[in-house]
Amino acid sequence: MRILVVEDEAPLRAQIVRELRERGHAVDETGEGHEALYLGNEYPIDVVVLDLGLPGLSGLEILRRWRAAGRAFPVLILTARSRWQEKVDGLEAGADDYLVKPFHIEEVVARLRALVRRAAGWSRSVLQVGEIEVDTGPQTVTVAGRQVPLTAYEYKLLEYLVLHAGEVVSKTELAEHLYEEEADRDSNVLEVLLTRLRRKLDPDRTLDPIETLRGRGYRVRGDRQEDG
Amino acid sequence: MHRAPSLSGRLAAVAVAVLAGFFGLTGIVLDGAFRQSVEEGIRENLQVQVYLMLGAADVDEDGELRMPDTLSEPRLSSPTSGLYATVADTEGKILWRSDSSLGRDIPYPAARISGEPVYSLVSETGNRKYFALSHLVTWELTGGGERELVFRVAQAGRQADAQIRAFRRTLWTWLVAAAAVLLIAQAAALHWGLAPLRRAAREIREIEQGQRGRLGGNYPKELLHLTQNLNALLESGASRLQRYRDSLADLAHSLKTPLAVLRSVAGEEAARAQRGSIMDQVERMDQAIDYHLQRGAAAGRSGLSSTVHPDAILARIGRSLAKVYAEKRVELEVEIADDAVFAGDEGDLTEILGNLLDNAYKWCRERVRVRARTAPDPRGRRSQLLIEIEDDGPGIPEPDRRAVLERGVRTDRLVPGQGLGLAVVREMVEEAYAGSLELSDSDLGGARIRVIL
Repeated sequence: MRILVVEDEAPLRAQIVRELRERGHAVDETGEGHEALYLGNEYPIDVVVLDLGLPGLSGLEILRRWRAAGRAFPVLILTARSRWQEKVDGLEAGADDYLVKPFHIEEVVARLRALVRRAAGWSRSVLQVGEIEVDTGPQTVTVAGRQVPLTAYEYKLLEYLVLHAGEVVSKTELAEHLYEEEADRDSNVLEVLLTRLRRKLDPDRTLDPIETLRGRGYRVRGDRQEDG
Repeated sequence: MHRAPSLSGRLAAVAVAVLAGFFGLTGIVLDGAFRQSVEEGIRENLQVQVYLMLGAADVDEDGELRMPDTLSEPRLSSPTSGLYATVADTEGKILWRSDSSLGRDIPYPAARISGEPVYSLVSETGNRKYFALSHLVTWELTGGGERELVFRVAQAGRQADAQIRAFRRTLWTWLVAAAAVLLIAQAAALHWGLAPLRRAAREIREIEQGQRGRLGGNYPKELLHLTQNLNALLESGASRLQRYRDSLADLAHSLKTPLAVLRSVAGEEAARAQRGSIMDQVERMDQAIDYHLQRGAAAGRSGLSSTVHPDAILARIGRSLAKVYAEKRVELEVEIADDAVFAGDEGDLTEILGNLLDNAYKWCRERVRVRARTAPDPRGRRSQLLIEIEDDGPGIPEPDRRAVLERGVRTDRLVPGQGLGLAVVREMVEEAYAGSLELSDSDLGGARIRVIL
């Protein structure tokens, strides 16, 4: 999942970015309003952490311009002010959730995860497609009731595919949402990763949970199960 | 309390007094002048009658008076004509009387000097009034010697009375009509002249009701200074509050970001040993900021407080919370009476409702109910707003309720959220609005919070 962090306080931003990267997310960061606007408009962002108290272009204004431009990614606003008036203003300008400073970094991570999940149309924290069950809380995966240990990158890859279950996800899209730098987006690496993931999920080669649509991309097989 | 009489009342009282005095005096003077001229007219007429009689009379050498059988004045022959005449000697012995005066005993004034007629208003026994003129004439007899005769003429007072009554009726009718017209004109002038004051009062009322933010322009120059100053006062009050809030918010911002850094740094390996105590301090500082910010920024109720309808605020908060608690799919029931209004600051109401609803959403299973209506103020001043917020969560057990309302106890530690807790809301309700906050059980199964503002 690709996260844009907009926060003008450099140490705090560095802290958030580091914590998110440690958890295997691709992160774009800026402390400046106009750059934030540009990044949000031009990059394939999944979710945004936006500080409202930015110098120059205010967080609320950036939010309004993104929404006016049709950018639908969920936005978590950070604010130092705990007044409700401001929270309501932020949420009405198009934010999806808010956190008041100071916050626990785990809280940020949990909110971002929930926002991305909700944006993809999932209401529960456990994503179930066919035999695959992805628990986004502890980040564990079971296939037909059997626990499958995955590396951080394998998990991110699977989570992205499962979040968008039913949709075809192109290789470019996958790469863009998993890696920050273009240099890292070597399609061979992604294919190797996918092959490993398939082997772990389906060692007996009976389920074939991730189908390849030649020239278009990948799709997780099976229906979303929401009320399990 | 005794109220000072209204401006229009004062001006109207003065106008009525002045008009009554002026027209009353005018009436009395005109009435007197007319009466005098009527009496003068009668006197002249009587004098003419005396001369006519003198012309017709004749005295022989013996001094015996001779009067013709009929006089040229026909009224002297008719007993009901109201004109009477007699001729007497200086002792009062009547020598001749007109046909009309038969049977009448009119007390004529006495005339003692020749050529100086005496005129006066006299009353007969039986109260009949007459204007009477006595004229002493000294007749030079042809045989030498003189004969003094008194020619006396009287006119009944009733005609003059009727004339004066008719005049009075006309006079007073016109005076009253003129006074009425002037009063109406005065009232119209007052109405027009005081219109700007009434408009100012109406606009101030509208400001109180929240229908406008400032007084309009275009006031006459006597009032302009007042209305401009009032506007300036309103604006400076609002901007002072805004400055106050901004500076508090800036203070919070400048403290909170370092706090956020501190909190994340404290999580790192090197600080692990002191982590607990650092975190505790951070938490305490954070709560202190929230607490003072909340209290300091409350606008409270001022003399010119506007009123706010809670519907729109509740709708906004409801939409916001629906986003934040999207997972829970909370069903929010809102029942707001049409007359429910909040006399106070919109930001404060947003704060109170925001925190209380946030708590309700946090604790509920799936239902939250908000009810608002007016409650009569026990002191009978302005009516108050009663708000009840209920949820179907676990509720707050009786023994914990007091503690929950005390500052420093956070009941929301267990569930993620940023609510300031009931204690801060309670202090705001009590300190800024002299209201109250009570906890009880809801029939939905959870807590019921009743706020009176």
